[in-house]
Amino acid sequence: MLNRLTYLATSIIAGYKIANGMDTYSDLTTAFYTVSFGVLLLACILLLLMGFEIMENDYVAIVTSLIPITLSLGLATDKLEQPQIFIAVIGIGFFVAMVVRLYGKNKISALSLGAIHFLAGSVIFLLPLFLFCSGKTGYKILAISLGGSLIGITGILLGLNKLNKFINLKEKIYEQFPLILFMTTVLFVFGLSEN
Amino acid sequence: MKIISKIKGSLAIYRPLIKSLQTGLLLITGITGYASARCPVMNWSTLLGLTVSLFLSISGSTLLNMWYDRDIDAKMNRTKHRPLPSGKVSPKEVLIVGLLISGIGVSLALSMSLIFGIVVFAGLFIDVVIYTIWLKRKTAWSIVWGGISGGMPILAGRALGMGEIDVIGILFSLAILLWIPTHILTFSIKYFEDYKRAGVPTFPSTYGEHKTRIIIALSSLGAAISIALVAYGIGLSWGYLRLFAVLTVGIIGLAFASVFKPSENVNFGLFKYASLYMLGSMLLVIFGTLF
Repeated sequence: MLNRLTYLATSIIAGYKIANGMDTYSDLTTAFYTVSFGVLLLACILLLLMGFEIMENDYVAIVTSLIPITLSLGLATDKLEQPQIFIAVIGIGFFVAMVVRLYGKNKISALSLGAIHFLAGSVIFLLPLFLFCSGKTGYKILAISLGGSLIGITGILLGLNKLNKFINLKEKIYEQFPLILFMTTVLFVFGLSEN
Repeated sequence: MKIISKIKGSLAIYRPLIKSLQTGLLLITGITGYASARCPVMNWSTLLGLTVSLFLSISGSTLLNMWYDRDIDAKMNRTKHRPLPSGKVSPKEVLIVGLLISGIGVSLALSMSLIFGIVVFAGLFIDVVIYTIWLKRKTAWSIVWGGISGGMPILAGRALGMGEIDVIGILFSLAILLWIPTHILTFSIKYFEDYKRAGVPTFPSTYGEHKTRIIIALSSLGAAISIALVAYGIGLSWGYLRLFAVLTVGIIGLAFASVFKPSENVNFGLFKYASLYMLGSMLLVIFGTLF
């Protein structure tokens, strides 16, 4: 019951951000953040309704990879003066991963998706740190780095678990997953409230 | 103390008989229709009248359905424990209560506004007479009439707010009509054997599961387009439209997943998501018009 309430709270926060928290962004940034928080919202609702079984679905893995990818693209278009190269690299990489997957080369697809994931995660973690250290923004933006680390580490542990590096880790992560998702969402929303 | 425990006992019996969740959802659609008219929603007496009359007429029609379908319910595992087939309440009592509260609900609606009352009565009549008594046991297509009656509360609410039946009200009703198959057909896939045992024709038993899933996907798409037109037509802000688009991606994604990657989990997930989607869309319209 507590897990369900946590998922519900997370989806409400993500929904609030989509409906009311994007007035100051450009259209492109708004579109990227909408996809990011939208996928987060839908993931929470599906976890609430269908349980962890959906996490095992390959398509869900691809769709949820849109969360860090579009969040990093949103950050890049919002905060960088010339985000074009980053957009191109991420866009091409994601396109390649999808096309390769269509042809059944799952390992290559997973590798290219992993590489984009890493790139996006690095931007989510490092860009806010850089902006804060260079005095361009206030401290709130650091929450994005923190949220990115939290979900990033969780993702890495789940990935390693898939490779059988740890035993019974999946259950332990799943136990804490609602709280991790909630904390991550709160940190992202708080961090993005920094202009 | 005796009276309190008697009331508690009656509530325990009548709550499942009026399908409280379904009634609640239809009630919210009615309030949404009214709120969408951008009339003075803070007119508490009208809002209270709308809520009470819709609650009574929806609950009344559900009671009458339960009364008429008690023989079917007794044959289905899912419903055989309901108060009527399990003998917790007499059919005569349910019939009387159903007729009484339906009558009060429609009378109250008519006293508030003629057009509101007519639409409320139409919903009740279509649901009880055309859907339940006439068609439900004869054809799988009866759900179209179930859908039309399901679209009446929102049309009634809109008509009360506007004083007339307008295009937005019709689109609202169409959205509910097209949403109903997602709600009912996913359910009839899950409880296929139950419906078969009771002899109730359903889309899965008449046209097969795959065609049913395609119909679910197409009707979900149609419902989403109808609500999108309404949301745009009543002038919701971009923020609310974005959120609505996200929720819509969810229902269409699940509906098409159930066609191309069918599984029981996806099917029942879609059933649950469809209810949440409708509730979410209605709340978006209410919040979007109020704030």
